[in-house]
Parts: sequence; C-alpha cells; structure tokens
Amino acid sequence: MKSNLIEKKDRIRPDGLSKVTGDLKYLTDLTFPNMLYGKVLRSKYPHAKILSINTEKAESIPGVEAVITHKDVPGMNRFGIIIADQPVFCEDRVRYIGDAIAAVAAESFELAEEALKHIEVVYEELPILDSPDKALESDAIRLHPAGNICSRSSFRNGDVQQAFEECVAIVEETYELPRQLHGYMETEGGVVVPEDDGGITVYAATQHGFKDRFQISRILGIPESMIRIVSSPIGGSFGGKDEQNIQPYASLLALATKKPVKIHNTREESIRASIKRHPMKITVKTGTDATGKILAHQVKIIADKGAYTTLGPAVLDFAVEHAAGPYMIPNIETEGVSVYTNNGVSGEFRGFGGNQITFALEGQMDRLAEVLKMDPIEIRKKNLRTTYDLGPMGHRIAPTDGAALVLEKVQELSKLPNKDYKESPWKRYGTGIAITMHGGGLGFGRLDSAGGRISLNKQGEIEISFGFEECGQGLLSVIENLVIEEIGCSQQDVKIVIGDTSVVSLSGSSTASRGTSIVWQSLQKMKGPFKEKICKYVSDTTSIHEEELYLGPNGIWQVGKDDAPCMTYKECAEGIVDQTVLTSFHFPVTPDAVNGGHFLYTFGGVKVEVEVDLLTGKVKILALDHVVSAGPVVSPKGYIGQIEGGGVMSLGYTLMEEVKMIDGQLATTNFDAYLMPNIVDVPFDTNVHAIEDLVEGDPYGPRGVGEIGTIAIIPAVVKAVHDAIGCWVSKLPISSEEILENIESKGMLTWM
Amino acid sequence: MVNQIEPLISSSPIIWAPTTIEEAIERKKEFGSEAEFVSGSTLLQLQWKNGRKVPKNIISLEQIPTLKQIQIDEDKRILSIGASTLLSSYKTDPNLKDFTVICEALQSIAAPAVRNRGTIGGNIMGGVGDLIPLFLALKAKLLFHDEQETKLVDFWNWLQHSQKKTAALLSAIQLTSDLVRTNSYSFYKKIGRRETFTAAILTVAGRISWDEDGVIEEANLALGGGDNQPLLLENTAYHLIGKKGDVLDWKGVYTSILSEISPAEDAFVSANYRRKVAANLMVAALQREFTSIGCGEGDTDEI
Amino acid sequence: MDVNNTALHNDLAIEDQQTFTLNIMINGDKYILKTSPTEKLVNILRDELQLVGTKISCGIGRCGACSILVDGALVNSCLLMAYQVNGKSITTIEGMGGVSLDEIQEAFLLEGGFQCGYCTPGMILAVKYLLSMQPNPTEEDIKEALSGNLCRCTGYGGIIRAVQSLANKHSKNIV
Repeated sequence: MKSNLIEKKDRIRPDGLSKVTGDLKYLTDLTFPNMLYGKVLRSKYPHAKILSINTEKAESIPGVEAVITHKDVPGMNRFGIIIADQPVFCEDRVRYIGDAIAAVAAESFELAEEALKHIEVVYEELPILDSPDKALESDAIRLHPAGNICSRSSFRNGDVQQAFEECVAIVEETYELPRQLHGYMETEGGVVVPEDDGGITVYAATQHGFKDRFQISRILGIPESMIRIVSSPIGGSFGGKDEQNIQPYASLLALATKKPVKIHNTREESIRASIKRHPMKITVKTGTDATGKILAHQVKIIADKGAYTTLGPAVLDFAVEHAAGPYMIPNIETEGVSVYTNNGVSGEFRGFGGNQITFALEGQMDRLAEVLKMDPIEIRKKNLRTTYDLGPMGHRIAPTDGAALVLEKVQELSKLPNKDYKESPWKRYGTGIAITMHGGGLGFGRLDSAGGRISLNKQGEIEISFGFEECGQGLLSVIENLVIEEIGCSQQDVKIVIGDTSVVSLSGSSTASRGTSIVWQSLQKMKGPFKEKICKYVSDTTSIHEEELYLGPNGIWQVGKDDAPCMTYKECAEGIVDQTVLTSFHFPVTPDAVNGGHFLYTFGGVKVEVEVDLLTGKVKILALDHVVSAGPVVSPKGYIGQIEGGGVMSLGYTLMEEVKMIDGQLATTNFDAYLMPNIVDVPFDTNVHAIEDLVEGDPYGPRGVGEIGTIAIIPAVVKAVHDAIGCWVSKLPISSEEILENIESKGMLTWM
Repeated sequence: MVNQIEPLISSSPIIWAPTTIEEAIERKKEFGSEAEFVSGSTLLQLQWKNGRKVPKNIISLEQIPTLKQIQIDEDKRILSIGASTLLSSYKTDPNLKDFTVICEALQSIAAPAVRNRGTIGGNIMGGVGDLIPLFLALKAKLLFHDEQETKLVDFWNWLQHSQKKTAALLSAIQLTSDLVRTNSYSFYKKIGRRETFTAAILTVAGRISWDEDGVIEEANLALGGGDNQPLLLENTAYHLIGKKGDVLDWKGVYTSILSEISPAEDAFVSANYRRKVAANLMVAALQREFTSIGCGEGDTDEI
Repeated sequence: MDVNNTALHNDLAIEDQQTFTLNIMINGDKYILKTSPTEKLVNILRDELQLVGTKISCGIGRCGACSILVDGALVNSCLLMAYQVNGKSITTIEGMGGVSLDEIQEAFLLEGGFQCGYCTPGMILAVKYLLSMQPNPTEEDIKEALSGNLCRCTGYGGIIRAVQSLANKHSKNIV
C-alpha cells in the first residue's frame, strides 16, 4: 500500500508510544478501590408490556449491593441527543431487545450476572414491527404517542413530473442497505466514581463530553457542575459512542452504592444494546436527455429508525440533502421518512446517511450510462458541479472545485491498465468508479458551536485545549501538528488537553468530520492574540521591541539572534499573568435557511478492481484507489489511516456486514456471525491520492476526513461487479446467491 | 519475583490430566457421562458458553504424548495422525508436508491463534469441522479406544452408523500414504461468508483416481462443513466410476451431485445456494483434472 | 514438563477440586496463583494481575484482541483455561520490548500501524509470532498470520506497511 503524501510532518503520534507498548489505560481498564461491577438487564422481547418487575430475590444475594429500576431514577428517566425519548429504565413497555429494565451492582461481574437471572419480569408480548413497511400500515400498533413516524424530510426544486416527460432515458431502481455494526474493538464501558460532594466522575467513552454531562445531569437530577466526564482515550467509536450507553447505569449505581461502579459490556451485550447504521430503502427514478444531462431525479427514502430517536432525524436530513450529491440537477424531488420499528436502535454512524444515499445516486449514474451507452465518467462530467455552483439544496456553499479535481484524478487512474490477473475459466474481473460529495459540520439550523483555548501554562508549556475526544482518529496528531505549524514552537513545547470536562474548553462534538476544521480555524483566531500576549510580556521584561520577537522552539526568539531564545517558555511562564486566549465561534454554515444544509464539503472518488468467482458468486476486491479532496493534509499518517480504514469499513458494508434481525431478535450476536473484514479481505494494492488544493483564497483551511473515505467505495464495487458479469446489484451486502443466480441465468457455467 | 494471590470464589469442573491413553480411558470408565474428553477446547468452550452442559469432570488429553504423533508406516503405506495433533501442525510437521491437500484444509480452519490450540481430533469429534469431508474423501479410518477394545473403523461407516456421542477415545486418524501418486487427484475447498476465519457455508473435498486409459477407478466426493450433514456422495461416485474422465457428461454429473446432497440452511445462506455451489466446485474440480478447461498456468490447485 | 504434569495432577487430586495452584511465568516473572482451574487466562491477566495491556473484545476467540504467546505460540487468552497454562511461559504486550522498543513496536509507530490502539497489543504479538516463524514474510504469509486479528480503524494498511518494512529490513540483513 502506498500513497502520494510525502511524510513532511512525520511525527510519531502523541499517544503512539503508550499504544504500542500496551501501557495506555483505556477507561475500561481502570479499577478503583472498593469498586463494584455493574450489569444491566435488557428486555427479553422486542416489543412487550411490562406487567411487573420484582427485584427482591436478586437483592437478597450476598455480594449484591444494589438493584435499581425506573423507580430509582431521581431525575428524568429518558435520554437522547435530539429528543429524549429512550427510557433509562423501561417503566411499562419495552420496544427493543436492548431496552434496559434493571441494573445490578455486585462484588463481581459473575455475581452481577447471576443476580440478573433472579430479577423477575413479567411481560405481555405485543405485535412486533420488524420493518418500516409494517410500522407504516394504518392499523399498526403505535410505538410512540405520536405514531410510528420519527421524522420526515424533503427537498424539492423545479417540476420533476414535467421534466420526466422530456427525458430520453429513465432509470428506476430500489436500493436496499443493511444495518451495520460500528464494530469498535473496545466495547462500551468505564467506571463512575462517586465524589465527596455528592457529585460523580464518569470515566467512560463518548464523542462529546459536555453533551454526556448534560444528559447525565438530567437523569440524576443534579447540576452539571457536579459531574465530571473523563472520556478519552477511546478504543474506536465511529459514531457509535455518541449516544448514552452505559453511563446512566453506572452513574445511578455509583450514587446508590456510594462506591465506584464499573460496567464493561461484553460483545454480546454491546451488539444487543448499541446503536447501528440505519438500514435504508431508497427508491429512485432518474431521467436524462439524449446527451446524458440529468433533467429529473426523484428520490424516496425510508429509514428503519428502530425503537428510539437519538440522531435519526439528522441522519435522514443528511441523506435528503445529499440526494443530488455533486451533480447539478434542475428538477429534483426528495422525500425521506424515518420510521420507528422494534429493530434495535439506529443512530449516528460514520458517513451519516451519505453512504446509503450515494449508493443510490451513483448506482443511477452507472445505470443511466449503460442505457445511454456512455462512459461512466463522461455522464458524471456532464452533470458535475463547478466551482461556484450552489449546494445540493440550492444553498450557498464555500466555493470548491473538489468535484472536478476528484473526477479528473479518477479518470486518470481508470486509464491505467489493470493488473494482469490470472486467466481462469471460472473468474471474471471488473473495474468500477464512483465519486461523492460530503458535508462537514452539523448543518444549518443546528447549534454547531466551536472553539478552543490556548495558554502558556505554569510549567512553561503551550497548552492547547479542545473539548474533543481521541477515538483513535488521530485528533492528537492533528492538534500537535497544527500548533507547531501555526505557533512555531517545537513538539516538546506542546501540551494537549482534551477529554475531561473539568479542564477542556467548549468545542462541540467529535463528529461530522469537524475536528480538524475546528482545530485549524481556532488556531487562526487564537494564534495572533496569543503570540501578541507572549511577546508583549517578553518585550516588557527585556526591552526588546515586540516586532523583533517571535515564538519558536523552546521559547521566544529575537529576529537575527539564532543561537538561543531570548526567553524560554519556562522563564516566561514564571512571570506572565495574561497568558490565555479563548475562542468561541459557530462552525461555518450556509447563510441560506435550508434545514441541515452544509457549507464546507469534501469530495471523494474511488476506483476499484474486483474478481467475481463464477462457481460461488463471491466477490473479492483486488485493488483500490482512493482520491480525496479535503484541503491540505495536516497529519499524513492520520489522513491515510482515516481513508484506508474508512474504505475497508465500507468494503465490509458492501460485501459481508449485516446485523440481521429476525422478528426483532438478533441473528448475529458476536464476531463469529457478524463478519467484519479481516486482513485477507483487504487489497494490499491500495492507494490514497490526496488533492490538497483549495479554491484560491479559501479561508477555511483543512477539512476533516473522518467520513469521506467510507462513501464512494460502495457504488464503485457494485459497478465493478457489473463490469465483470453484467448484473446490477441493488441490495447490500452483495449476495453471493444473487450473483450466482445471475451467472446461472446468463449461462456462464456450461453445466448449470 | 513470586506473587501470591488469593483464590477466586467459583465452582468449576474437576480436571484430570492423564498421561497415557489407558489412564484416560480409566477415568472415562470411572465417571461415564459425567466426564468429557477435552483437548484444545477451542470449540467446546464456545459450546459451553452457548448452553452445552459443562461436564463435572474434564479429562484433558493434552498431557498424552502418544496422541500427538504423526507417523508414516512405509511398509503398510499408512499415514497416522494423532488425534491431539494441533491444527497448526502443517506448519511444522515434516510428515505432513507432502500431503498438500491436508495442509490446505488445516490452513482453512479458523486462524493461527486458534489453530495453535485446536486439534485434528477435536475438529472431527466436534461434528462440524471442515476436516470431516476431507477425511471422508480420503477414506480415512479412525482408531478408537474404550475399556474393552481398540478398534479401527471406517470413518464414513462410523459417521452413518454409530451414535456419535461415543464413550470411546479417538486416538488417531489413519490414511493411505499413497495419496500423492500419479493418476490421482485430491481437492479441498471451503466457502464461508468471509474469505477466512469463518464458519463454513460449505466445505467440499474429493479424491479421484483413474487408470492408464483415463478410466475413473475411484471418485470420493464429500460435503460437510458447518451445519451441513457430512456426506460421501456414493451415487455420484457410482455415476463416475468406470467412465473416461475426458468424455463425462458434465450436466449429468452436476445434476447427480445436486440431487444427492441436501445442505443446511441458516439466516444468511439458503440450502439451494449451498447445493449449487457444492456441485459447481466439484464439477469444476473434475473438469479441471480431466479436460483442458481450467488448466490455468502452473497452479493446479485453484478451483 | 513432567514435573509440571505431576504438580498439576497432584494439585487437582489433593485439593478441594474447586481451586488449584497455577504456576505460571509471565513476561519472565514467576507467579503462583490460587484460582479456579477453568478461569479464563484473560481474566487472570486483566483482573487479578492488572496486566490490562491484553484486551478483551469478543471473548470467543474471534477478534485476536487478547492474543498472547504461550511458550512462543500465538493463542487467544480468552480461550485458555487456567489449568491449560500451568507451568507455561507467557508473553503479553507488557513483556514486549524492554529498555528500548521491540522492532515491531517501532515499525507500528513509524508506519501508522494503529489508530485507536485497542487491537494493537494482540496485533503486535501476532506479528511477533509471524516473524519468529518467518523473518521475511510474503504477502500470503502476512495474510495468514494476521487473519485472526481484527482491526476496525486502519483497514490494515498501516499494519501491512509495518510488517513489510520489517520484512524488507530482515531480507537485507539476510543478504
């Protein structure tokens, strides 16, 4: 695997040493004196009334110190980032098999587990809504007071019906995408420690410490100031740890027992309770004129929300917004509906609906190209946005030529000869390409506050603080590299503070590819005033003119005197009083009032080569090229890692991953049946091509790349399969059975 | 540094660690159904976790050196593989090196860390192992010991007729060491939902031999893996034997295989798909051996 | 080995048959622990001995996060019961490197062979085992050796580059 990125800033990531030595303590590795172990009783049924809960027997077991239910929640018995509709503990009804009913704290996990078996819950089963279709039936039982529709979202421009009449080619297809597991290697967990003042410290992973603090305070009924959230390091998240998971239970148990309580989900518990990627069914009708210019695009999205809201409405909005992707479509009608079911809970997941909608959009482009007998790249070019075009919902966005640059690079790559594959009568080879456009930040209409803090601390370190989390994505490297670059100091001078609400500044969530953007923008705002403060102090102390001073390695330097700083940071820290600069701003957002509309977009493209086995219908990825346009690369290894890793995550989504549910129950409970790609599934021949140029004068700097690598690969693989054997797949993960049926019907095996 | 640590409170089976086969049988006799033979326990532990009854007595076979031997008897032309031979032995044991189809099969099971614990005997006695179809195709014999006798049984015969919950101890798998002779061909293929390290959707294996005129003398085709009931395809063998390999009616062979097998079905893969894939793999293997089709350059093992 | 067998035998026969004495070398240190004979080694390492560098993720031997070396061989510590490791010598991530880093750790740092780091201890031990068998592994060797270790972050790219950098280094040394 190689990349075109020169390792110009080839620093070892700040958390690297402790990760390769195993010294790093994750929050699930922590233990405290007198610590108890917690377990949560989850629902036996996907949908049922709770007639009674009896905890007496469990409580009487020696070594069991607390058994709690909804009756023991002092504050609001609900959580949820957008709408708090998920019960901490169910009172009278369960809506999915992960719904919590009770929790136990005991002297060991085994004992807590044993105690769960002695909690008696009497259920009365209710009809299971195991698909959005079922939930949308007029006589379907209501999962929530307002019915089974969680949210609707739509966008219209022009007149689709009239435009279809003018179309020469029309393609209609329904795309189905499955429920995906985040599959972070560290399951949810941590320890909650009760403090002397009646408050707590929560050591548990989240993507937004302050949001956890808010949610937990609401549940416990204590002020936020009494809650400290320590939330990094994290063993992977990908959106999956954004919502509350074990925090409410460990917090309630810690307060109930006045002892530290640890909960660490087993993989089975994690898969049962955790949020997943939304399954979506997307029906699309797209028409073009004879030249391939799209005239009309009609999209209907049905998302399987599962039992509770969490970030569902925002995911749907994102999918609706990205329905047109990087293409200029004069007549468009997109309607989305997110529907409550008893299928677990769908929520935030890397790509945020972009993966699903782009599969449908790029699938349409390829099918239209086939109908029109056009080159797949040409049809895309024909419809591609240009630098100053409006965004996908007709809103103003930061000018960008990323779409064209990515497509050009993809075209260049697709002209290269494929690898020479071994001739076999039972293998076919194919190539596919796809591109995508992806918004960063939370979008119009959401509070998207950003910010950071920089100061010279007492130890003489340049201390930079953000309210972000290190989930593995390499945030620490991004911060370190940018501080060194923007301030001019050395690696040793930098002290990074994140992941602890008691000391960090407000930055918003570590989501939506916003981290890198915000760190860079914050530094642009803070570096001037910070340097000024430092230089003023040095100037006051040394009588050197401020203009002659600059911040460099180890201290403040005078222009022309290159042997040593005129004052070290340590010396400076001893005397300086005014040494802190804070910034707080809103993430750049479109000025036009379109719900969820983004302002900063990144672009991605993929070229992929596949092998289809005619005997088995199995698809294998042989070579993979990523092209990304997201501004300057801040941290090369981190950048490549995000793109490659994101790509493989979606390779899994395309070929093998599905959290299958049957009648609201899981068909996959652990990694024996939920299969994620291992090293054998990954093409060693993978390349990442970064396009670093931004439009001249772009003031927004590097964009985040956490999600962009996960999108275009999905349709590209499907196109490559078509290229190999001439069949279109519209349902993921690609079914070997469906492929084999095509092979059979096409007579590709002489004996079949 | 010596660290003393206080015990955990827990109840647990009693572990017996015999060092001879006789001793192991003695324990089994003593405890009967309250005891289970255990080797690497890579599968058993998962089954225990999923509700299989944990025995009161575990008779560990790990300390019995004779169960770990792989031997070739040149005179009798027998390859004998001890039941406690690790699945990873294909990497280290010189006796296995020439039997590429066995090495291939071993390499397809689980992943290195599991293969370093799991055993060949466990793979067979667990009932779902990928080695079952391979050893069926290779006409393996199993050497069992119980308190009364030591007996060598035909694997296929045993699979069909014995109740598998046997009290006897499997000590070795015996194969003909003539596997690698001219005019013969063995194949093995496992298909899963992922390339590697996954339960089999199906596993097929075969061994065919023919005379100087290309007339098929032996055609052992077997199906198994995962939940599939292991099967030696006797009807199809009957169809093939006596015919010349280069003039086979391939549609007929395919149809014969289809009609003879009935693979399992689960939430992910249908029986119909498995049936077709198994038949495809077998037909392709035969075709490649007997016709110019599919004779890719050099690599003769790729189906 | 014979001594250990006898010890195991005697312990199991003589004691109350609920606990036994586990003699084990971990990273060069000798430990004697009273434990249940079927207690999982991963729990002994993490909970009893606070050696939390060994991670737990699937608990059924399907992810490799708990990989360790037992007498030099790669195994999943979640699939090992205490009685199975009596008298054995174990290497965990805490036993890798010493005064300076092991070359594998170095390579992972330089090539970006990790992100969240949770699979890293197991992955590094799997690479250690690979290189102990094959100092100059091919692509096929690497695939086979690491097929039991899942990484959800990197897509394996950095890991592959790390192992290949070591293979290159070793092949130069051989020449």
